[in-house]
Order: sequence, then C-alpha cells, then structure tokens
Amino acid sequence: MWQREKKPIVGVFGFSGCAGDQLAILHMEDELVDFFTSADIKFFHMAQSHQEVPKVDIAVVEGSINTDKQLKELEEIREMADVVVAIGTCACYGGIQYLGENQEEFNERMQYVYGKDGVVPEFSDLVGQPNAAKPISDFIKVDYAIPGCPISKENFIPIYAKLISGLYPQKYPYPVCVECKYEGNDCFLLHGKFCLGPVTAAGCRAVCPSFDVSCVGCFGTYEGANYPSLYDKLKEIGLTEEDVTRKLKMFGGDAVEKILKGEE
Amino acid sequence: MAEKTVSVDVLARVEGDGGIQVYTKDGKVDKVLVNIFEGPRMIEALVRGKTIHENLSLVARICAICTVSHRYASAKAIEKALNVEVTEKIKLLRHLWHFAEYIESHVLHVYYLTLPDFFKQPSAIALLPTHTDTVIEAVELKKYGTELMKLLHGRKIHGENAIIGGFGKLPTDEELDYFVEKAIEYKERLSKFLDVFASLEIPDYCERETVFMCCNPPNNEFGFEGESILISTGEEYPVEEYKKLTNERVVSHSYAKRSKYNDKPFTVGALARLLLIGDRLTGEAKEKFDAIYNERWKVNPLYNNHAQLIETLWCFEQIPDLIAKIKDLPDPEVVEVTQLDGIASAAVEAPRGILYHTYDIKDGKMVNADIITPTAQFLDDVEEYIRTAAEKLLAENHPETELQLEMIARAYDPCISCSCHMVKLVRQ
Repeated sequence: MWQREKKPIVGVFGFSGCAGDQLAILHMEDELVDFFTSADIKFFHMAQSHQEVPKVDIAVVEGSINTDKQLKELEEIREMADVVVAIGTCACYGGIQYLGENQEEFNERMQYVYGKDGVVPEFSDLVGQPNAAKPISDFIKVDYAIPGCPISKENFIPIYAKLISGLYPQKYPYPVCVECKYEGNDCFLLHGKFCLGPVTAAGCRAVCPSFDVSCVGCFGTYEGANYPSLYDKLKEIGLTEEDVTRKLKMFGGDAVEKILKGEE
Repeated sequence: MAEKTVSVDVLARVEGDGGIQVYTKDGKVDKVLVNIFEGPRMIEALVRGKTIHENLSLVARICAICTVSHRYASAKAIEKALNVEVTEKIKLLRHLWHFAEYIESHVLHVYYLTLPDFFKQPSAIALLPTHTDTVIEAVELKKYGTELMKLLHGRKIHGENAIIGGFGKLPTDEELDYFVEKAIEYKERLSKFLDVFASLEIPDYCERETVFMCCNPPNNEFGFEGESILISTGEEYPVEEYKKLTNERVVSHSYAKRSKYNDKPFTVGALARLLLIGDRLTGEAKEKFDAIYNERWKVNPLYNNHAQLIETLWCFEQIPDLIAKIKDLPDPEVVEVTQLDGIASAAVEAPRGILYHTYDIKDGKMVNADIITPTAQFLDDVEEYIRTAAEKLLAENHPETELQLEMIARAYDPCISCSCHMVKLVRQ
C-alpha cells in the first residue's frame, strides 16, 4: 500500500451497467466537493473531460465486462493502478446481466435482442466483440469490492476515505438483517412474507424493509449466509425452489452461482 | 485533400461509453459514426420468466439517471396490461416522483455536464474557483431532486418503494412540506440562472431542420406522459403504434439500436417537448419560454439545454400545488393485482425523450418485453447534426472541431446505459 505524502491520483472507470455507482458518487451532494478535492481525480468520464496520466494510485471500477474491447481496457487499468476497487454489484458479481459461462443463454439473448431472420449481425471492432457478462474479478485481481445496486454512501465513504488516506478498509461482516434490527423494523419472514435480507450483504441500512418493501438482494451475497435455512423458510411461506433460486440470481451473479453449485 | 478522421474516442460528461468518428474523403464528410461501445446487457431478454414485481426492479436498473422513468413506464405498462387502476393520490405522487427525476437529471446535465463547455473547463468542479456560487447552486438544486426521489422511492437511485399498485410507504405531510418551501426558493434561483444561461452565445455550425416527437399529455396540459405521440409533421399516433414511429434497426457500430421515422432521423427530449407543447406551459415557465425562444430552436439541438432549464423551472412551479393536492387526498392501500395475463404498451417522457415499455404477461410472469429508449431514437439525428457541423468546421479548419462536435452530442443528454452507453481527442 502506498503512503500518503501527496494527494493520491484516482481514476473512476465505468463498464457495462447503468452507471448508477458513478452517479451515486455524483449524488453525494454534501461530500461532492470533498470527493473531487481530497484526491487528484484524473479519470471520471461521466463527470469530466479526459486528463490522461500513465499511472493512478487507486482505480475505482464500475460495471461488468462483456466485450473484448472492455476486457483490454480493464487489463490496462489493472496495469496502471496500484489498488483496484470494484464498486457496485455489476463489477463485484456481474450484476443483473451476469451470464458467466452460459454461452447458450448468451447466444439466445443476442438473438432475441439484436437478431433478425435468425441472424445476429456482426459488430464492428470500434465497439468490440460481445461476450457473456462477467464480474471484473474474473479477469483481474480486485483489491477491494464494494457491492450495492447502487453502492450506498454509508458503504462507499468509509472504505474510500481509508484508501485515499493510505489505510486498510474492513469488510461489512454481516447481513441486511443486522441493519434491519438497528432500524427497528418488523421482520417480513416472521410474518410469512418474502425477504432476502438474511443472505444479502449489509451496507444499505436496510433501506427497503424500512420502506415496508422486501429486500431484493441488490447488494449481493453475504458470505456467512445460511442458504438451506432461507430455502426452507421461503418454501414454507409458499415459494418454490425455482422461485427462490431465480430471486437469488437476480442480483447474486457469480457468487450465488458458485454457492448453488457448492463451490464455496 | 487526403482522407482523414476526426475522432472523439471517448465522449466525456455523458452517461455511459460512446465515441464519435467523422471520416472525410476528398475534403467532404464521408461518414459519421456515433459509436456506442457500452456492452450489450440485453435487459429485454433477461426479464423473460421473471414476475411482474421482479421486472420492475430489473428494468429500473437499465439506467441510473432515468431510473424513475423506467420504473414508471414499466409500472404503467404492467398495470395497463393487468387492469390495475391506481387511485388519484398515487397518480399525483408518481407525477411528483417523476418531477424529482426531471430536476435531478436536468440540473445534472445543464450545470454539471454542459456548462463547463462554455467556459472551456473539463468539469463543473473546475469551475468552483471562478463560479463558486453557480457550482454550489448546482449541488443544492440537484440535491433537492435526489432527496425528493429518496423520500418517494427509498433511495436516490433504484429505490424499491414505488411498486405496482402504489407505494410501499407513503410520505408524511411534514416530509412533503419541506419540499414546498424549498421549491419556492429554488425556483427563484433557477430563474436567475436561466437569464444568465440564455445570454450565452450558442454556436450555429450544426443547424438543419428535423422532425420532433413527444408524448401528448392529457387535458391539453404540459407534462411528461400521454397515451399518444405528437409529431412535428402534424400527425399523431396512439402509443400502441410505437413501432411505426421507431422502426428499430441494428447497426454494426453501436450496441444501442437505431430509429428512423419515414426513413428520417428525428429528435425527442426537452427541445421536442417545448417545440410541440410549449404553448401549454403556465406561469413563469411560460413567460421565460416566450422571452428566450427564437426561431433557431427549431434547427439547433444546443437549445435542448435551454429547454431543460425551462422544464426544471416549470417543475419547481408545479410542486407546491401538486403537494397541496396530494395532502388533501386520503392514503390509499396498495392495489392488489388479480389478473395474471395481458399485453400493453406505455410511454412516459424520460428527461431525454420518449420511453416506451411493452410487455406480454402470462401467469404473472413476463413472456416478452420491448423497451425503446430515447437515446436509441435520437442517435441517428445526432449523427446528422454532427455531419452538418463537421462539414463547416472542417472547411474553416476550426481549432476546436472536436469540442464543437462533442457539444452537439452532449446537448442531447444521451443516456448510453439506457441505449445499451463518449473523450480522448485524436486527429489522424
């Protein structure tokens, strides 16, 4: 880890996604000026014109990778950065468009969206050749991952502030349920209603249950989650195994895929 | 004259990843490509098999800036398909929710992304030392929009509180009152900024005629949704016939599809709305529009920025009355969905133009989805404006050709994530 002697050079980069994690940074209105002045932000295409430098101390990367052009750019970012931070569920797990190794499904979706008369047109190398969407960690070493769809200020700032200060951040080692208790919410599951809180990583301050809507799992999986217990509970309240798997996969991407295959 | 390329490899200060290539041959512009290299996410394909509620969470993720418009269009289409009738209070709360996105998106676009061009700066933050009050104003106005979104749907981006049939939790009167007071204050500040912005010189390189389209809001009022589409040719089509208007096709240099109407490119967004239904504006928004409008608006997309500011002013003006009406109505329960099958299309105006959502639903699950975003509709027109400008700029060997071309693309406020997703400058 580099030591803070001068302002660290930071690059914010985006790949396939809704740009919600970069926008979440721009939406931190109270901290916005501090964000842009506490570090030397060289790359942030969404907010500023290009300022090319050969090296950055910290690369903050949003989005999943699904073209060969993006993969090449991602590898260049890893090459130029000391620390790579994945932000958002797309970069961390692949996001809602995650397809991993499922080439068959990828081909079918390309056909459904871009195909005409059974043929998917060729795309120019100007935009890159398409691939099934995967998280950035499938291709490069990721030093820190901050999930969320989108990331929350409460999750991002403590980690980012430590990084630009040359300190080591820590993980959020608990599920949404813990934050739900802090917020004083009633439990959906105890009332026989669907919720993914017990298996979802915290950091959102249990925002959805606080609005009386169930957790949809948008921060991805919590590592210590008890999946068999969640399946049992949700089946008990009337969901099928297929329903639960589909809901877990909505935001869970590769992490859920590995868990369901018993790899982790 | 040798062949050359003007290349904007990555278009900055837009949402998502795209670029501009202008190829010249024998001194003339040969080909213009707005490349969209944001990878294909194929949202329409992945929502198949999902429940109507899951669909709402997924399609909102198409785009962070217009997350409200996507969620709104989706809820409208699903409710139409399944004959779910929401109460008047929910309809009004959805308008307020949509106005919040307009303030967030338009302020972000005009102040943060566009204004730096007029002062030759890389970003709004770079304007901080010289235009401190304006930058702080931008932050405060946008915060109004994002905080109102947060109140209504749970967080600034991708809140889950707006659901089919209503809202999970309704805002209290006290929570709404704050936004009435602030709306009055911010309307005054925006009005002053509009006067300053209207005094800026607008370049004329790109000027040409085009076709405009927007939703026709009910009751001959100004607004951001409707059951039919107005066209500057004088025609009007029901939303269900959207395919006749968009005629989507795939091009090799873009993961965003492209649209043409009667084989011609067209424009959607704030400029189209003001040109087509601007006479329906009321109050100070109408006075300002009448004061700053000129004939160049019809031929120059850079006036989309002015149009967005007028709309933002209109939103701030509408909010106090809207909130008063909301507070007068009793809190409704979320409407239960009982019908499981249906097909419907709905359109809302996203801040950058018409957004169509169409679904075929069976057993409460999505069988087919068709989503056409504003950026997918206007990219062909952006290419045509860039072609017109590039011919003039290259002929006079303009020192800021790339910047001028970028300004055209930026004026459209393209949402590249939406369209599927612009600047390192290289002249070869």
